[in-house]
Amino acid sequence: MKNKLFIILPVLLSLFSVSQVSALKHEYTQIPMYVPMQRTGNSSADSFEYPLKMTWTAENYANIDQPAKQYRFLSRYNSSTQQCELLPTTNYVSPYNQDNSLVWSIGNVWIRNSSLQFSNRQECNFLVPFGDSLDSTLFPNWSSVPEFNSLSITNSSQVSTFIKENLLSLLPYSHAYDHIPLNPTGGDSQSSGLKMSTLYTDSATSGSINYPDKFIELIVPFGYFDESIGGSLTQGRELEFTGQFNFPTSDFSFAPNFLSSGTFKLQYYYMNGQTSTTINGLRGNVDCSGQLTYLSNQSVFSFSCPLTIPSSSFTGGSLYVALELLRSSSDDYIWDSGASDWSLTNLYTITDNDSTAGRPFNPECSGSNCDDAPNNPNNDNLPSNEDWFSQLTNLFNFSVINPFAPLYSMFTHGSQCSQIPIIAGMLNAPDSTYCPWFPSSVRDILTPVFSIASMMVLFGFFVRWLGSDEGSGLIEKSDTNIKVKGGKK
Amino acid sequence: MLETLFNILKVSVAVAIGAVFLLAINAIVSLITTLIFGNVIGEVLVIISDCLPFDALAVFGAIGTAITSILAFLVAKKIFDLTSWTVSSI
Repeated sequence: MKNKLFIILPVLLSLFSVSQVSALKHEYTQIPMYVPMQRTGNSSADSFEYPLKMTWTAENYANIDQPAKQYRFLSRYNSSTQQCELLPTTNYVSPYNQDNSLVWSIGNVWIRNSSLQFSNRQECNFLVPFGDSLDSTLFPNWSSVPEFNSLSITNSSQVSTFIKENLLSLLPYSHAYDHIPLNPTGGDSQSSGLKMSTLYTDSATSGSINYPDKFIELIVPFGYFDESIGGSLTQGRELEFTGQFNFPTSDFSFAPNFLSSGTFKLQYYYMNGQTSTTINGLRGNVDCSGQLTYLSNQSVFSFSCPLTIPSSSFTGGSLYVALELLRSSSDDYIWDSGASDWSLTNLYTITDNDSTAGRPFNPECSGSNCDDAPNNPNNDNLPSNEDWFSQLTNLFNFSVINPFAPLYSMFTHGSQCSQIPIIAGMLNAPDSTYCPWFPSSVRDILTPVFSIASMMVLFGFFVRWLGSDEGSGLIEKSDTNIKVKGGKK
Repeated sequence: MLETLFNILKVSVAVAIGAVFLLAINAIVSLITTLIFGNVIGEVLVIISDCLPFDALAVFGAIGTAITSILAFLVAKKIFDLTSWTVSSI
């Protein structure tokens, strides 16, 4: 029996140690999309919103430049009309919803992963029916851009054109720029994102750009990150958004002026996506810092925006952030000079300075008494939760091979999408990712449950086998003799 | 007294050898799984894992750790037994 065990166990080990495949997993990639809105009238800086929001993964994006391939980011196909439609609904679906449904709500449309394949349909209308659903109380100063009210596309090439011209041009992410160069021009009245131009014009100043409120030059949506970062958005949690702009030296004439004189803020707002159809109104902004660096062929502007979750109400929903560049109205001319070839890199860097992560491990610092630890003189002598957590994890933190690594992987946040380069290559979508079907909240609970249960079952059988007659028990019994191991002769 | 010290030394050696075997088995398994699963099979498993309500990779990793630990224990125990006296009484 022992010999069999020595054979069976390695075989099982080889079969079940799929954890090593975790090296195939890569970072989560998600691209929020923003459709521009035309702003009407003048109002304060805190009133801008995004009326239409689309998200899809890099898998979808990888096909953008290849019209012959599949576009899979619309979610509903109306069989009766044989049209692809973005159907308006009244319910907002949070990022946790994995039903692949397209959702339209007040100012927001989420297009989840894929169920339609555009390129295979010759007749497919792409309808963006927003405009009628805009809540004037929430968006008093915005109206939809007329061109987007109803857009009809009849073949795949038009779909490609539509995406590229109207949606992808708004992409703020660096990997988007690797494939689709943007050519921002000044004075465009209906652009946002990296077009680096104003969102609106004042008809009274025809032919020139007016900045009555001296704000909104660049909107950099980061998208929701509660799936990207993990954990709850507890009050006091510290996040830091960093990134950088790259622009050519030919733009030096205006870029330093703008970047040195402007201020930068991170606008954020919160949506309780699971239960509410409205924006909760928890919004604000934080100041960012920036630094301009001159290189030989380009200049880089790096910025950093620390954000501390301001309210305990940030639970169960999503936090959206956008970078605003505030500037003075006297710099209007800079955009007329034609800001070209601007790009963003590393714009999705979010540093989680969450000091609450280790709290459950600190017996002296549990509950709410640590929330104000930095300001509470009574807590000055307590080790920080981060240090405490670090000390615990360092116990088994081998640098070369850590046989206990799978034990830790049980408790890691495992909702990140996985890259599948080989299969993706077969499907002609090299940047494809595959995301878990179930929300991370479920997986994060069930994973350690199943892991620990499996280990308990295994160890249970092993201990039972040790104590059995067949096993090499510590005391082996037979009818004729008793062998005492470890004893003296 | 000397016998107790000897047994302690023997247990220590067995534990050390078990730990070495633990690392060795782990390294071998890593190599095997890299060869076996470091291709399209691994990606299929990743996709399957993403379809489950739990992280199958982590679960299988925990199972693998348990099996590795058991194997290391058996090795250590075998070494301990081989160096032990056996008394049989009729």
